[in-house]
Amino acid sequence: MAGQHDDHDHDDHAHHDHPHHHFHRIHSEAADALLMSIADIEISARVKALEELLTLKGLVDPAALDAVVDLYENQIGPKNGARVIARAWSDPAYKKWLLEDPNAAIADLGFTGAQGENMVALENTDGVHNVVVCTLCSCYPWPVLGLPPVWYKSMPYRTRIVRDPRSVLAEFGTVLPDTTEIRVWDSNSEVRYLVVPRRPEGTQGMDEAALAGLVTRDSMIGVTEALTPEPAAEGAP
Amino acid sequence: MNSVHDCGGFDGFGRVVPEDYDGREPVFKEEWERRMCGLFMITIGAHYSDDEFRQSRERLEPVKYLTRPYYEQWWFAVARLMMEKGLLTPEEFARHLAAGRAAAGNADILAGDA
Amino acid sequence: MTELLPDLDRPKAFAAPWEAQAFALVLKLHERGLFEWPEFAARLSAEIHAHPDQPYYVCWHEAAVELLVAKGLVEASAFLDQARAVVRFRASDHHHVAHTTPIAVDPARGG
Repeated sequence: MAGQHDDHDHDDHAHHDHPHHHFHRIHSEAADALLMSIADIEISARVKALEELLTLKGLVDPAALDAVVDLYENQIGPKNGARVIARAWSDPAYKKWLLEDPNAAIADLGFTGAQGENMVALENTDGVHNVVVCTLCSCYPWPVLGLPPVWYKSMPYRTRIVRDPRSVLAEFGTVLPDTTEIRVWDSNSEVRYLVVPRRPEGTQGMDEAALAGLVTRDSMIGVTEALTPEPAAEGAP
Repeated sequence: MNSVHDCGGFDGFGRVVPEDYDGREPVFKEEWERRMCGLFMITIGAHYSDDEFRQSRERLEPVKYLTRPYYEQWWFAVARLMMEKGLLTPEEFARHLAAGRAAAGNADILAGDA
Repeated sequence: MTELLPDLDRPKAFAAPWEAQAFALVLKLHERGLFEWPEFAARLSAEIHAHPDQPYYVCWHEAAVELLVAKGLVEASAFLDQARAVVRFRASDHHHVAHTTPIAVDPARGG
């Protein structure tokens, strides 16, 4: 422990309670004991206590907390990814770029940030359908899809999609021909995946905004295909 | 680390899609989820790394890992990390939690049964 | 066979993910009937004796590669090319080449 100092701008910081980046064994056992002893108290009270305590200690700024929550609840979401897909459908050069250098292509539309540092784009074709999971936890490409849905983070999905993807897709109403290969991709701390769904039939001439409206979050995870456009209601059938 | 989080291929977890699923769901179902997600977002990087967070989550005792709601797993992970880093102590955590609950209890009594 | 398998009750059966991968790969290939276990065991034993200071799973891996090449299942040159491609990819992470592999594939049938 001696000699390990964090860089600080202020020199008066004599206390030992800098954020140390190593593991305190004694702290760990005491922490575990405390956590287990309070584990059955209602979760809302436990979260409140944690937030309040960290705020009192100046480790958390509630305004910053509100701002980041607002960002992910209301601003960052699958609409971002839909724009990427719509652009790829409309512009062959962009699609090529997206498949070859997804980080640059996605960044070009402004969708960068935490959990999106290393993207891989997976193109669905008539012969190959891709679907994404994180078996170990819940890795997900936040900048293009926002926060993951509950089912994506759940044990049923994480366990079964790698073993029997067709049955999971069928639960979502997605039935692919036997002649389509299904590839399941496991996200991790290094790689995040974005599925590029097939462009649906009957979308010729649609502009990017309209195309984006057909691209759902679930189609960019790969459990569904993109929506098909409503047929134009021109007069009575 | 060989724990229950490494679950690809396990059997018996049942249905993936909820009965009334329509492709949409709120980002947060409860207020505490919203606060916990925010707590994570503003403490990661500043006080612990992505890897430390993942590791802390994986150390959650298996039954709780499998049965507690998702964002509650984050609570265990972040609370543990903050104590391990010496940023808060178990004693003050316990004290603060107890005080908060007592205050809430008093508020209920004062408000009467609404 | 059992004396050559790691002790899975010990807390650290694998020191790194690649060791687990190597272990699982060999077991899976054997399960598919691509070789008899004594064929692998003999090579593993030979590798360990030839390189007593070499870590166990390095021996395991070397024995597996030798066996696959000897069986004609993998060409030595193809293996080397693939290894080089992996190293190249990791060295130039910002250039995206289709480097990653799916964790599972449900193959096409019929057609």
